[in-house]
Amino acid sequence: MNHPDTEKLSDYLDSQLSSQESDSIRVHLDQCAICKNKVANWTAFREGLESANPGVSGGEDSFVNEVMSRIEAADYTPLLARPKLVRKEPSAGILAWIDRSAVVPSLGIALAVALLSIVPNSIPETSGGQQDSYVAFSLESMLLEGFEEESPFMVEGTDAFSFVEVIEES
Amino acid sequence: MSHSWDDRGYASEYDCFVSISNEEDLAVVDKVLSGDREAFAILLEKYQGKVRGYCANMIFNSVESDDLAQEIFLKAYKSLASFDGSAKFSTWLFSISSNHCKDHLRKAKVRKFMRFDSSQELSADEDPLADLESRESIRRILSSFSEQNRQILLLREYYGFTYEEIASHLKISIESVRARLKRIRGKIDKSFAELARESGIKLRGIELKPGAKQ
Repeated sequence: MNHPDTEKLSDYLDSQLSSQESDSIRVHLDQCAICKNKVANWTAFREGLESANPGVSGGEDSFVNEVMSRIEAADYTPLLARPKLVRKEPSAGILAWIDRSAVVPSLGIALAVALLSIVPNSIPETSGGQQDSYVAFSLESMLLEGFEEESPFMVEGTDAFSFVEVIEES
Repeated sequence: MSHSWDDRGYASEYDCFVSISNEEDLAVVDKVLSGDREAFAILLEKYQGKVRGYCANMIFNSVESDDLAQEIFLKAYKSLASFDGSAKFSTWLFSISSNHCKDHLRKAKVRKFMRFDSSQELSADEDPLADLESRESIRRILSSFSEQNRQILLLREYYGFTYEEIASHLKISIESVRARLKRIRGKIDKSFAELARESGIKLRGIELKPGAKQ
């Protein structure tokens, strides 16, 4: 019997095959215990992931309560008060030609470049490592403003390194 | 892409999960952004299980993984204004969790010191032995993958990300996602075969810590 390889079975599992290919795999699985077992194992593994023990800090309620009290303890209101971007309307008026999403990151990069070119020269060389961390910190705080709104995936990094990566990729 | 797992016999909780409308989430996000801080608890209740489970599957230390889950929700709350609705809220939140766990692993370099936390309490109605065996097996298999492969595996199998979503999130090609999943699954095959051969919870010759089977 010709068994489909792992790639085919994996594609089948993830609905990456044409319906014709998918049908032929299904027919094969009905007849072949080996391949059927393979797919069954993957399924068992997938289901096993669901049974991961979500920690020891207690049930759902206590988790929710803990997070909510941490939110209340820290005052994040100013951050939330920023203009929201969900379902934004097309802008009108004098500034309509400015696409904010393009301008803000560009400004961020321009400022970052300017800072990089000025700061190292303005600090005496003797300050060494201190100087580097100052530059990195400034970069981070400036870019946070520019990039955080760009993409849902940019919120990851809280360290300067991540944001330096972001510049290079954009 | 739809998640047509059902016709392959995957009656997964995940299917119910995705069928819940993203619109509901967006409405709650709007509420929170307009000042109703308490409304965030709705999102917390809805997604806490999924996010905590992800962390538990990614970080094999239940105390740490729950801390991480808390931080992920705090991060989501703080960044809520940056959620632009271009992805589903769940995808956005899950991406934060994936990045946060990755950051955590990078910073703590727990890889070297990874141990299995067998101190978790089991509820009384479970068969402790069977439950622990399968859980330990899954953890052992998970831990045999590199961090990025584990991340890809969990994004796909646990969060139900599409290939496109994984590729965009990790900034790799769709082809690479597909190839890696194939390799990952090949490795799962081998691990299962070994498990079966050793007919226990021993895998790759590693003994469980004493007391794990209590």
